[in-house]
Amino acid sequence: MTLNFTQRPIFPAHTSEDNMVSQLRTVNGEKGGHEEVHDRFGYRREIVDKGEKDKNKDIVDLLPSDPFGMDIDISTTFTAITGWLGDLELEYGDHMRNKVVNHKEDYRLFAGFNFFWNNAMKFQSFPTNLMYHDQHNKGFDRVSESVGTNCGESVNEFAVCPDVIGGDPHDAFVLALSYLGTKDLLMVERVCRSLCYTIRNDSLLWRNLYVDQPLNERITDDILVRLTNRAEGNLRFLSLIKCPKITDDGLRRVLETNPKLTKLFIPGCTRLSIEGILNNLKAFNSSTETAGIKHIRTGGFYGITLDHYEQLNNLLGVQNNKHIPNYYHRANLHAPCDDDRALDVEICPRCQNLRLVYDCPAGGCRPKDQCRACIICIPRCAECGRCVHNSEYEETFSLEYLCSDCLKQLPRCQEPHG
Amino acid sequence: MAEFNETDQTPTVDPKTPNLGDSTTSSQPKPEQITTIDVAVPIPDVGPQLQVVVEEFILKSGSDDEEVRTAATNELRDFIEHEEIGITTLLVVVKYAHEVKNVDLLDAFCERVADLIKDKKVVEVREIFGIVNDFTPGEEQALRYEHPWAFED
Repeated sequence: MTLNFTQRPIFPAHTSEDNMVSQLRTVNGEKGGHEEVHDRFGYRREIVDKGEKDKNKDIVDLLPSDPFGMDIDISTTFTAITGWLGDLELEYGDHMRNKVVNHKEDYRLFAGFNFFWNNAMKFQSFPTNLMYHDQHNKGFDRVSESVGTNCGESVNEFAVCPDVIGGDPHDAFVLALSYLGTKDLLMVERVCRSLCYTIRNDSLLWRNLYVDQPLNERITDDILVRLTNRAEGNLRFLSLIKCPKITDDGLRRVLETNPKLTKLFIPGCTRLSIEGILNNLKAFNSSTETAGIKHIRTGGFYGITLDHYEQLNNLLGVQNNKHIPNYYHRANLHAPCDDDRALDVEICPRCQNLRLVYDCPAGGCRPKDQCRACIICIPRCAECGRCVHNSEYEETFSLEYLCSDCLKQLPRCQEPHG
Repeated sequence: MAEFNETDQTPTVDPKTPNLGDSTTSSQPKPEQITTIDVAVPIPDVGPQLQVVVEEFILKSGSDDEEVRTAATNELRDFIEHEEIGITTLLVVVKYAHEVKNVDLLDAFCERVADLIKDKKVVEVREIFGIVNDFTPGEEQALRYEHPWAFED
């Protein structure tokens, strides 16, 4: 079935389901293949043929409500997706037609789905109840924005800042810059001269540097030093999550020029060695200019010995052993907890190895101070952090444990047991 | 210009505008006063609905009770998320929040603006915010080579 691209209004970013569907209606033109969709998934759906007035409800009725038995209101989701795909067809229509063999409407939708899924790049978040991972979420509005650009008009209020005189950024724009991540700051540098100047020269914007996905894999020592130099010696917090290219030498250079650094997060930086860290810390903390690093997150180092641990404690000035409970959560694996602890590794009470040690949040657990150990000694629920020994649990497809309570709260992906 | 300091627990009253609701006598918001608030720095024209929301938020954010403040912040963020607020309006409120030094208000709206910038391309940001590209082609080219590593896609 060929697409019938009628002239249509720009797809607004925020819109009700019906509006989104109406875009799709126009794009897909005449509906000849309803009946095929009807039984495609073996779901009985009522085809409500309401005629012209209610055209925009047809596609919603035709799509299966819950094809994967996930027990959620997927009609909203699919409506959103179909609307999105309709828009993408405007942009990628030719490509799609070449790709897809089966011209049945529903197949095209889902083949297109795969196509765009695989090619999704940077998109902004879509303001509806989509259950997809954030990265994919970002596909939707990007499309609507680009459609706006392509069609050369911007009915969407979002796409235009009409009161800006002279094409300079609004005064308040720079206030929002401090809420941007590293990658976005570097992007905004390229927008115009004044922003470029502001971003390069405002050391406050670079006082805390967080390097995470996707820049973490690309950042090298030289780049790191250049970025940290923008803080003009005022860098306070440096967070390098899984940066495999950063070496001990790079870290040394950063420390040399940033005496005010107090927090250093380096989990997953595989080229950093524990000896290198210790040497850098010794040099840094012994300098009179520095207050010294007070908080460090290593994410656990292989080969860290008791001796290293004691040296670290000395360097960090750990005096009291005030115990701050630390709970396990899958998010902590990627971004360490920013609490007041000086060091994240501890001696595991059970195996005596130096690892990240977790407490048990569950109320009904044996005395809490006994339920403290590394994740290898006591496996824990990835969601709530409770130990899974004495309670019902399940190992999920992603090889993490979930206790029965957390399992219940997940959207159901399979038939309920019994 | 008279400034209304919002970050105090009990908001100080500018003597030039005595009718600041009832916040001088008690820091708890009184619902019947909300619609008659006069603030020292008037909220700019942002549309009636948003104006009410912002006024209410400013009032609640001056409360002593942390729960009230947290609830107000969550409400505000929900509102921002679900309502279509235009870019200009967002930026106007950001500027206002900065002037009256209301940190929570500033955070909420700045984060929204930041969300609009995140993960976009340069041309998109220009389009959305109405910013004109004033680089020469040579300068643009040079910039492109400045941080190529950050834009490999």
